[in-house]
Amino acid sequence: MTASNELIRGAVAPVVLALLSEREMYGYEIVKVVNARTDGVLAFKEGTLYPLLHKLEQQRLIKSRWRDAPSGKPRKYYALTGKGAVEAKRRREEWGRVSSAVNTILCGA
Amino acid sequence: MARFDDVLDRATRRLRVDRELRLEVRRELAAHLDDTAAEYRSAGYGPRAADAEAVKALGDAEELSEKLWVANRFRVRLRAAAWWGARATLLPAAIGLTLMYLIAGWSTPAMYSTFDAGGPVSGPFGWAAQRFVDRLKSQMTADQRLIFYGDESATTHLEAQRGLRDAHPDEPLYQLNYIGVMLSHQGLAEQMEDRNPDAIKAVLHELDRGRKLDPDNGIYDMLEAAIWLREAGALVEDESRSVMRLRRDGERDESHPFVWTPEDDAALARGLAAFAAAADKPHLSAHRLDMLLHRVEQLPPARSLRDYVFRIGEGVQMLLPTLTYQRVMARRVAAEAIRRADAGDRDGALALLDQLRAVNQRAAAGARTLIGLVVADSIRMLELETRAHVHEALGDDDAAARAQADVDDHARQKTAFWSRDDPQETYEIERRAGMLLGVLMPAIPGYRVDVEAFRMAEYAMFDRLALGVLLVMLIGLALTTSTAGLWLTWRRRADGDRPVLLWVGWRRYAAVLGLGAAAPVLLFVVWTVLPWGGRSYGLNDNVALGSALAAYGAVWAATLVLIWLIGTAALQRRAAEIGFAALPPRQWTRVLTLTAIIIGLTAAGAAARSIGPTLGVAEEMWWSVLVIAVKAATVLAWGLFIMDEITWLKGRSDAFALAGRAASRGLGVAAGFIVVGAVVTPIMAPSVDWAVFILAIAGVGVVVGAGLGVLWSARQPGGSGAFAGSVVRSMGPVLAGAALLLAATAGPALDRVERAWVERIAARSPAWIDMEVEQSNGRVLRDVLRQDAAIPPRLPR
Repeated sequence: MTASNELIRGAVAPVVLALLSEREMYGYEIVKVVNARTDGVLAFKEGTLYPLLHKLEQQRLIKSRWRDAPSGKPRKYYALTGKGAVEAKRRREEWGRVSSAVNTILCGA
Repeated sequence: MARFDDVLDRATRRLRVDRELRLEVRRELAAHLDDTAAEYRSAGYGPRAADAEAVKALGDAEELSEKLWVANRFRVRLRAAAWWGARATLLPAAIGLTLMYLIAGWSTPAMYSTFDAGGPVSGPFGWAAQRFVDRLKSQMTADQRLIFYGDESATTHLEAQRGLRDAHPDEPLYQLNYIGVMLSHQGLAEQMEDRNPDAIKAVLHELDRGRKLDPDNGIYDMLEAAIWLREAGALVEDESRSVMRLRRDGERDESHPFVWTPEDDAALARGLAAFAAAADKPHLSAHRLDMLLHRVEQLPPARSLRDYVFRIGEGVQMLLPTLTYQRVMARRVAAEAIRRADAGDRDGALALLDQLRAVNQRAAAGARTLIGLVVADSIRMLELETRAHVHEALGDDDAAARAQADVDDHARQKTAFWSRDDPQETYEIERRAGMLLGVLMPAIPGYRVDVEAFRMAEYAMFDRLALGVLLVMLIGLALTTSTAGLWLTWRRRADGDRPVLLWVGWRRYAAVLGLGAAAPVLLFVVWTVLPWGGRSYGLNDNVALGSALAAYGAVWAATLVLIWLIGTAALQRRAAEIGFAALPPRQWTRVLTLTAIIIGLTAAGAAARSIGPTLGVAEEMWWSVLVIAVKAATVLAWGLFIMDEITWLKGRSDAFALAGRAASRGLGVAAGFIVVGAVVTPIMAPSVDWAVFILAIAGVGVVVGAGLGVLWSARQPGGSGAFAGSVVRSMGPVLAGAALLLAATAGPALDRVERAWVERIAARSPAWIDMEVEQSNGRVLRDVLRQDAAIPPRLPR
């Protein structure tokens, strides 16, 4: 079961930043990793990933370079910048606070 | 990936204003679709179904296009502004800085060209020299300009110097300066030669005025004596009398005296009276050098060799007129002594010669320049020879023989004086002295000055000129590629082949400038400080000049070729990243071999002509042939390189075959030139001249042929017109950036180097010319002439 678009929209940027904090990835790879780790819960229209990546790049949170993927084909890889690493940490903490607050109300914890 | 063209076109439609960005985004999305479709295929979907699922997963293309535009619009606008800004500023800034360096470099030869001419700056470099003079004036106060230039509102140099004198009417230095200018060609020299009464009256008036201001200085009386004695009559060489003058090689020449029959007794009397007065004065000096140093003190500190040469040029102009009058006076006094001896007036004749010696001793005592010393020495010889003529006229053979012996002694002393240095050591010092001092060294025995500072300042000046040449080449190439890029863009405006202005990224841009522009220049700097760099010897030395020219040639060739190769390689990588037209891989072994050949030949071609004289083969036929052959081979190598680049850019793999065909066409043209030259030349008989003429025609033919070959190869159809055009369009900013980098870094660095050396020169002397006597054996000759002593057998160093 996939989550609603409203929920997904708010989560994509923190998720992308979190994944790129692990290693550099190209767009298709990011989609695959998200699907694999969330069992398709966070499945989103794949095309919407690229505007987000470009926007994050312009905000200097991530940077890109072309290099050959393991398949031997050139792919555009994205990686976190120093500024992006700080932002990834901040968003993770923010998400933790928000999800905890939402859980308190929705789950009565 | 052509199967996704439709969706990719729609998804990137909003980015069409930035072709490079659109190509890159399109490439990224295409890769994504390709990966997605491959996954569907591996899950069992058919190709068409897999592609359809991939497009579906990507989402709505129109919506994606809008989102991509929103995400990238700031970048698109920024890139557009950056490109326009780069186009508007990079090339103009590079051209502006280059022009500044060319003007700064050219005004130095301009000063050299006006070195002997004197007077207002003129000639082919006159505009640059005038600019230099104007800049100089702007840095001086009104008082400083008055002392250096005189009254600037005056229309003639003479009036200008009169203005200075009138502003300080009680200052003897300015009065003497005004008189000196009156006697020069910038004043009344021609009128004085023509015996114009008004001019003579004006000069005599000023001499009288000076005498009152500076009563102990005999210069006014000496100059007045020269004027009146010249008025009194003309000199005629008397070949019936002679003394034997000992030459430096031990042979003897006959020397005939000048005699005269005065026609104006009143002028003679006034001239001799003034001459006697000069002999009674305690000192005699025109203070021309003092005035020069005083004027130079008004100038801003010398920052370049050009500034310093300006001072030397000023000095030479100032010294000559009064020295000329000194000789006029001496020759007529000598003629008058002979006339008195002929009349039997022994005491009168010898008294005149004693007075001449006294006057000359005082003039020699104040001589601080070589030319002043040489004039005093020649008057001393004149006086000794005249004594022999006088005694012979009086019939006193013993005294005449003693006088002839004195002439021989003085000649021997002079010979010993002038040839006192070890020739090998002198030659070695000359080689280290550089162009300017290298000329002076042989003329000044025992001249020991800081030649390193002059030599290195000259190198710094030539380095600046060489940088100027390199900048012109880079700018020329940048303008050519930019213009060609614009033309191709206009011609293909409606095609898919329209050239794209590619941005290789800051890292690659820095690599191109660093490896292509900065590295060759830095290697050149390292070369110059190594012993093989040849900078221990001056540019007057053929080997050192050849070494310098070879290094310049190598840097020019290396910079141009490396910027091009690294720049196009960066563009090729960028093009590959965004899926732009793919080119065949470069054959780097061939390209680098050609590069090495070009660098070597350009260096050899630049140096060949200079080294010929040192090897003693400059006049040899085979050497001329070799020089022409090296230059023709250089042109051919460059032509081959250009053809190879054109064929590669056009995506043809058979580059060398095409280049070979183009070269054969070029050589055909060259052969045609030779045949036509052989037919039309009037010198049909085989001779050295005929062969050189034919070779010269062949050289022109090779150049024309290589050019036509390149044009022919450029016109051949190719498979990657869009990329070739994009390279041409994109290399303009790269080349302009390289020119800007070198002009902004190497230019000021060379300025600082030159200034440091010139400061060292200026610290020794404000105008250099005043060191000629003090820093050489000249000071011994001066003491001899001053005290009438013999030249000591060994001179102190």
